[in-house]
Amino acid sequence: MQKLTIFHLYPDAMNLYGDLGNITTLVRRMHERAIDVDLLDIKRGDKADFKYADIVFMGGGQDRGQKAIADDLARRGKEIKSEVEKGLVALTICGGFQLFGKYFKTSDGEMLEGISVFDAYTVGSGKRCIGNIVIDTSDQKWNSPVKTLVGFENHSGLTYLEGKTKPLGKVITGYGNTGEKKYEGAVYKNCYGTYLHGPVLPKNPHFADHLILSALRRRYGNSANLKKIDDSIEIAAHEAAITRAKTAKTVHI
Amino acid sequence: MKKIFAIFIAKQAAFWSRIFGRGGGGALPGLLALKINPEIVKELTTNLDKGVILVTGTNGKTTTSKMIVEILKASGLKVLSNSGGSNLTRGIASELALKSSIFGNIKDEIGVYEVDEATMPEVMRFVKPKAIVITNIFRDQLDRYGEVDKTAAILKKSIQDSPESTLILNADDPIVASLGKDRENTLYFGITDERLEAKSDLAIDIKDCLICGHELVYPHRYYGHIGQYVCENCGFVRPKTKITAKNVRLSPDNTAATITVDKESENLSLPMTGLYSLYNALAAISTGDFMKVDHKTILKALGKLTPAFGRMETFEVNGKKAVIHLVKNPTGFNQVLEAITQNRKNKTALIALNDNFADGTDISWIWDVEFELFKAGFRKIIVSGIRSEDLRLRLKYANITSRIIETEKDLKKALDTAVSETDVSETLYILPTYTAMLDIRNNLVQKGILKDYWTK
Repeated sequence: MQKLTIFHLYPDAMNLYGDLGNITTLVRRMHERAIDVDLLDIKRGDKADFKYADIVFMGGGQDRGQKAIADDLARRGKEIKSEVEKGLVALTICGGFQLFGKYFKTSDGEMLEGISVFDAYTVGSGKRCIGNIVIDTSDQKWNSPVKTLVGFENHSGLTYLEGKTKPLGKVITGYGNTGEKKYEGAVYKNCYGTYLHGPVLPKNPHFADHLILSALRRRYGNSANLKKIDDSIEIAAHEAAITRAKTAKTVHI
Repeated sequence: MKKIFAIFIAKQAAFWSRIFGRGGGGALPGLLALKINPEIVKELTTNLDKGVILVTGTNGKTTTSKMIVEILKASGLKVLSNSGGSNLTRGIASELALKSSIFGNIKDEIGVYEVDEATMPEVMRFVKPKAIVITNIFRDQLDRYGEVDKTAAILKKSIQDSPESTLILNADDPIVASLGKDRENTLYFGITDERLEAKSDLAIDIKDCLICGHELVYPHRYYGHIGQYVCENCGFVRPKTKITAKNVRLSPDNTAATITVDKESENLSLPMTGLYSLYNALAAISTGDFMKVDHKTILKALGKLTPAFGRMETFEVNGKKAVIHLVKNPTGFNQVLEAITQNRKNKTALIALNDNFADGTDISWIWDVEFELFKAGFRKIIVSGIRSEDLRLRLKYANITSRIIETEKDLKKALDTAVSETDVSETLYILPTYTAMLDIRNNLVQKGILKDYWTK
């Protein structure tokens, strides 16, 4: 039986926007394909060897949560970075995405060091980008007819990409990384960062499957594949979110 | 003169709003009055002899305010409150303008207002309250408030601006309790019952001490981050309570407990379900005690209580029992679910998720709700509302069998389906977000089943 190991980073401090739904989605979609799952919660101070990880997940949190874990993450930075270079699959959301970049300079001028997996940096701004968001991911070579990701964004940090780190998609509706309605998220090798929550994976099953398949092929070779499963409920939610993003008003605070 | 004109326009707005069937006017009269005279709230509240009590916090504001109003009325006071449900400054301005004479005279002696957390700084500019009641602070509408810490910071700032107000605080919520640190005039309430045990680990907003950042230890956690806690690093600990509930007995439509005020004990029998209702009652009892209302009068008033608008309102439709309860954030929803599952008989549910501004436009919170609890005795679940597809998906991932789930986006049709699917021996639980609740209630009012909230 095939088995994949998920490392969930800081589930206690970084869990603001229903992020556990992403884990639930990965686990369920693996179980439906008869893939065994080992799910490890990694908290501050826990021992963790990232050589054993197939998928790393880190969610978003409050400023307090982000500050509380930044040092611990920094200690693991070198190891995570070296595994990502070797193809480790990772998904980071919001605050997690920011700390996987080089640094986050908050609006009060405080510097939070990141682990530089992404060639990206984040700067705090006075306004918050809040609302439904739809992005075009047709540049990604994912095995799916669905070429969009849907979710909800809520961030005041603006993220700028450089070098080999590429955006995850182009903004169709919403603000995106820099608040200028241009690009959203980041991709470097098999490591993804995004401001989309909602949570992102349940309504974007093709993205979840891409993460699982990438991890599976890294562990078991390129012949590994995923059986098709019934996604009608997921796709209905995906399409409803696209429609809603066009009509719903966004707010600024 | 500006005052008189503002009151006149507000009264006109309410009158025409009712004539045209646009509701009780809720916020509109106040909105107009404030436009004409921004100081209207300040000017009119000075006429309330016994001052003003503000009730704020994430969950339980409406019910707690209602309880306080009933207690104060039972003690013989004439009470003014924003029972129309608008908890922004305009809601308070509405009530004041409508209840006062055209010259600004008010018969009432005391004001009890529920205030939205984010509105507290604004309201505090106009009102110097005698007491501020804070029920709890949970994650709620992150699109509007930002983060839980931000809500706490807003409240902290507001209460610092009014050092003479007594704080009535939930000792079991470390975020709320920390607001009373180093402050003289505080009064704490809480529950001491070691048999209570949290059932859900989702949506816990704080695990770290707000004073020093060290992880809090919970010898007893009741739900969310509510319970008995201690910081082993800096010694921050659940404060001593003046009003304490012990020996808690929860049943499907009643909550009983022994209430101790200082050393004197009395029994409370509350015709409402759920631990969260007991917390609301404790906040109200504390306020009654603070206002020197006799304890027997307080408990008697609570024993006769009817639910607030859309909060466990029970009614009959086509000979079937139905309950409507607002759900708006994960902790509130989890608490309601826990209360409902005490009814072990067969049940049906109508869940309606809207994402309008008043509901919160971000619906990701449904992933922090224990929908898995719907496995307990629900025979049929109808999902509805603007984001019904998201709810349907959430139920799939909670492993609820598709056999019992039906999606009907249209609220009116969903209500009809839910009623006809419910057997006469069952209870239909209607669980809507705020704007869905208003629509469903309006529909029930049109059918002659419920009364408008402003005529209640």
